[in-house]
Amino acid sequence: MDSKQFNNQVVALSDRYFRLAKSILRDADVAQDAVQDLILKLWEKRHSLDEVENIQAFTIRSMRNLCLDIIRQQHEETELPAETEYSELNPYQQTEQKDMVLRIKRMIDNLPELQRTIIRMRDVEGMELKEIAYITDLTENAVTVNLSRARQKIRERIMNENKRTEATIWKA
Amino acid sequence: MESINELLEKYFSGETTIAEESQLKHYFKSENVLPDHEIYRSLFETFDAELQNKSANPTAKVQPVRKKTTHIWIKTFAYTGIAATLLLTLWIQRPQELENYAVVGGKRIQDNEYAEKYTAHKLNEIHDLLHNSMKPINSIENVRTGLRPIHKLESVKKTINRIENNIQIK
Repeated sequence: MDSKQFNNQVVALSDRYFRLAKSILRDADVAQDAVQDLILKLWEKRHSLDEVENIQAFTIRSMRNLCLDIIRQQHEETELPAETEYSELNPYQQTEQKDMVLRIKRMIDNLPELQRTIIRMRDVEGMELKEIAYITDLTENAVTVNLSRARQKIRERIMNENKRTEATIWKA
Repeated sequence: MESINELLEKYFSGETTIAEESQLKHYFKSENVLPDHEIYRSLFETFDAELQNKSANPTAKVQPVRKKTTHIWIKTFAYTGIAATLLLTLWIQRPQELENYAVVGGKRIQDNEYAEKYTAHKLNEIHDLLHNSMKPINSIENVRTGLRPIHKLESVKKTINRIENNIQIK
């Protein structure tokens, strides 16, 4: 793979890598560094990329693995426990995050890593189940199960949030 | 409404296709969202908003790589230059003492005065040798001088022949 092909097939996906890295690492600066690191590593291995069938899936899988390595190196200090439940916002946060879009983003960020990665790859990036299965090293069936769980959790949290909002309005 | 409800149930079960999900996204972007579905509008808006989330510092594109042949030539010139520099340095920094001795009969002589006398003596020997060698050449010159009258015999012979011819004619 020459530099032109590398720019077109790898560097062009930088925003995708960044969104995935930010979703997993939950830190824009660390995610940006991770993307640069990934691009550098892929450039060093550019000659072997010719043998890769699906460059997009391969590089996104590499991005995820790199992010998981970073989390492991940080001794999972920055990673919330896998099954942390979505906590109700305090009054200050409620004031700050009145926008429902921001609240839903926070709900997704609080999902376990695998679930938030899968829901974003599917609903934000529009990726096929087959690609997601390759990237996450799962079967397509396991991807469907995790996707369903992620969406169900978000649905429940949206409904709970809605009930709280309605209750607040009635009290007022 | 029923079809949207069915699609939503399929969606939350993780069973929708990409096309069906696009249909839902399109529905929630429209102005025709029913009040019962309004609760999910923000969910699809969030996905759209996240898609706009781009890298703050765009990754620099890599520069084209020059062909390998160019590198080979550059390397060849570089290595040749380095080798030439090394050789030149070694030649300049070679041991200077090599110039300050002479070898006489296989022995190294570092006494300058002795070496000069020895050289002068040898030069005298060469001079004498050349002088003696030139003696036969001087003798040849003497012989040549002695033979000069013989060369005149040829002209005497020609003169006699001419006189004889004249006598016969008369």
